[in-house]
Amino acid sequence: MAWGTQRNWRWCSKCQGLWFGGNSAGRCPAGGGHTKVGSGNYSLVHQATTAPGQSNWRWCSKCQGLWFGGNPAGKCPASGVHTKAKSGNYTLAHQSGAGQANWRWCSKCQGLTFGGHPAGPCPAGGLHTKAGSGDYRLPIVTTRVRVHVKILTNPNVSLDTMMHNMREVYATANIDVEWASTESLNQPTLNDVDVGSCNMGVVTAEQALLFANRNSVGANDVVVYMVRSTIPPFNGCAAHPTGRPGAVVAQGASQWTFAHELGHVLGIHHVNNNNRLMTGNGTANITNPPPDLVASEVATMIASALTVNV
Amino acid sequence: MAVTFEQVKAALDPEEPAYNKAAAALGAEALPHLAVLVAGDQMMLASKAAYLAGLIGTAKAVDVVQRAARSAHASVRVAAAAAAGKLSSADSGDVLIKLIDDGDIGVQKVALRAVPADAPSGALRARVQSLSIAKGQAPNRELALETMSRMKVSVADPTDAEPIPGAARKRAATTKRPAAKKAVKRKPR
Repeated sequence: MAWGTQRNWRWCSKCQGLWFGGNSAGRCPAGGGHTKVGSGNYSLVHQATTAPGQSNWRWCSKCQGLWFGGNPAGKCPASGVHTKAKSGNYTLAHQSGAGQANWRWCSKCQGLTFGGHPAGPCPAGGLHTKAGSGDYRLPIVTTRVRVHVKILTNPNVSLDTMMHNMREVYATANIDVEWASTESLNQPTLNDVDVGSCNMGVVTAEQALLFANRNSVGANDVVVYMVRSTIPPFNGCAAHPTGRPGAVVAQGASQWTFAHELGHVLGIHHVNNNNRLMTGNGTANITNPPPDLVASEVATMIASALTVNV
Repeated sequence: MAVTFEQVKAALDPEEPAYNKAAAALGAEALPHLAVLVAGDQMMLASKAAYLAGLIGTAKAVDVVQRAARSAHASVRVAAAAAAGKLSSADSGDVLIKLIDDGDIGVQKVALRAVPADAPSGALRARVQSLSIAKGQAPNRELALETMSRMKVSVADPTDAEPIPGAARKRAATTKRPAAKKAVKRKPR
């Protein structure tokens, strides 16, 4: 697995900061503990080695806040300075990407605060500042889809890029994409897999064999098999055996094929519009990346048993 | 009106091209463009172009499929093998002989599956037969045996085998495994 995701990050309406709501309320510079009242559920990428964005954001176990660890530690509202002990390494989308914009780095305390409201109190004194900060984007999620990847052949476009792109598009539907596991499969006779007519509900003997590989996969988890090619040649194919949701993606697929095929798995179909993920004209021709999902598509995806409320 | 390169590419760009529809709509006029795509550096388009050529299936289409069979990319050769299965039995022989000899397991697998039951080429039959009696853990040996059975050829027959008439066909289909073992044993002598 190249990176993971962690939900339950919250906006504190008292200090405007981002903090982790899975533990205690921590310490808020406005006084007392942080509050999650009125906050969405933010999902952050962590432990990424190559995901786009800015890494080295850290969780402070003393105040529960998120702060930038690439500079000397800023002042912590709990005591002393922030700590990165026991923290993962979080990567934030920076200047571009899906999610809520206008999150800002405070150069005084190193914390992340929401810049769309009046500045909250800063533990370093006075109010937070957005001077010198980029524009960070944080996805707010209401559901999640858990994706496992089984690799027979690595794709030409990196898996990191494909997964990041999927996460970015699905974030517009408030769907969190969890990269649950990655496994290499040594099955050379299935590396060029016969997908027949690639119609939903109809699978070949080879698809049945391939999709039987579901190590560590839960019932409503989705598996994407990265193969060298399909027969006939497709970028990918979302037809799968009953009860084994997933898709195959070919080595020569585009950067959007992964997300497109998972869209089929979640129940959405081709459209004649190159601004949209589900274009039937080839995702290599997408004209306004990231491509769009429209409301009816989002409703269908959310209604799928494979998207689970969080 | 002549078919344009853009029309051909538009038919192949989708994640899941509608090949039969494209073959019917574009026809043989697409072949020069398919040849360009097969020779190009976009592996996915080259594979799709090779397969579409097989469905179009004219003499010029055979040239496109043969070109794909010489590709440096294994996935394009896989597509060439699948395309050969769409050509007539008379046209597919030379391409399939080359691809059955391919060192790549996937190419060989698809080529074996593409061998028509009525393959007229003795050389092609001999290639399949040699695979079916291969020693060791040849990954496609079972598939070669199935192919022999489909062609109704006994693996114990001479390499330039002819179809087995009458009741012998049934025997060949049901006893192919023991026959293969005998053939393997005979070889060292």
